[in-house]
Amino acid sequence: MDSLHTHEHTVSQDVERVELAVARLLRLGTAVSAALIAAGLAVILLQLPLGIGPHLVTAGIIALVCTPLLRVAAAMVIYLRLGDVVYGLISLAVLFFVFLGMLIGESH
Amino acid sequence: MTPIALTLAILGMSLLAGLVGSMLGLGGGIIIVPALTLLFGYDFRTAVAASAVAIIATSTGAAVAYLRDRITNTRVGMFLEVGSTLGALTGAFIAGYVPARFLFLLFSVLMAYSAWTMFRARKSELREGVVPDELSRRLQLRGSYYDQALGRTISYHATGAVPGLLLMYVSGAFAGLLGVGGGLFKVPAMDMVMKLPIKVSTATSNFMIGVTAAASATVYFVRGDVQPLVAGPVVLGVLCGALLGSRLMVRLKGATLRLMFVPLLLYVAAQMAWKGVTY
Repeated sequence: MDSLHTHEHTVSQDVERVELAVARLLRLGTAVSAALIAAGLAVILLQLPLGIGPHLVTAGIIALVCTPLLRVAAAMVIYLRLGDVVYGLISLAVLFFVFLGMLIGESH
Repeated sequence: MTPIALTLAILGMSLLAGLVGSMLGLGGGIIIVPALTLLFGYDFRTAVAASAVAIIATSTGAAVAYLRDRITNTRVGMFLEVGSTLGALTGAFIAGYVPARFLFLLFSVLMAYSAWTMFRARKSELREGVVPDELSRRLQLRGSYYDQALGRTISYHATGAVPGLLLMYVSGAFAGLLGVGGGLFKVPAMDMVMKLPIKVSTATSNFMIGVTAAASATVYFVRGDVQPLVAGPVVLGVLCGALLGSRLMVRLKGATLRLMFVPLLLYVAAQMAWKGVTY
């Protein structure tokens, strides 16, 4: 019973480590994306003669679109490093299906 | 309307979409697409592309708060996302072979049924005595979080892992075929079939819709449908709305969240029935 509790405690700590690492990554991705988009919109709307406004917005949107995929990729790496092969493979399968979806969508 | 006023108007509308979307685990497309096309006069492709990016913004904007408060269950989300993404692929393959009228009507019936079951469960805050099935136990589909509205820590177990996965597959296929059904299908499935707390269901759905939308947003991006001056303010507004919504959701009771879902489900059921009849 004690070993079961210890195992559950370790699992819960591992889960927490994964989620905190992922949360940090998300915060960074969101902040970078929002800053780029806000700067780009400011350049466009204030008609500043820089010509990079649309590029900054586009870069911000690209950063945003990449964030959920990085989230899955980061979780996969952390699961594998923690020895949780099942969830590592599940995360890999998700990434694979998402990329397959992109390829199919682009070819249609 | 001047460009600055237009940007501010899109920002305000998107803030509302992010607020509602993050609280209910939806993408907010239910607000963004009609608003951009009907109120702001943008074409459908531009609106749908901005909506796909907005789904990711809702998902990421709310994610930090939900992960910090441990409401999102990443394991449940990752497991179910296998079904969703595979379903979306199937939907893309079989699109054109399945009669759209039948699909619209079927989806409408499913939404109406979900609304009814959510309404029936409107007074139940948490499900007691959930017995996990073998697969849920093996995959450790469980967790705990501190519920601010109830003032205590809630420990929970999922059940019905296989039916849940199948429903996510169906949800993904519907999304691929009809362009609808993201969170609207996922949340009731997790709530009613897997017996997860409604807050865990909405937060986990929030995680999942972002991953699925990344594929469609990339496709729209490559096709050149993502317009910076439309998608830019949409993203900023949705991010702010999602940050607010995620802080608000943790303070709400589960029963209130369920009640908020019912009119949305009925609205989509009516919309899909209309599309099916007039297709």
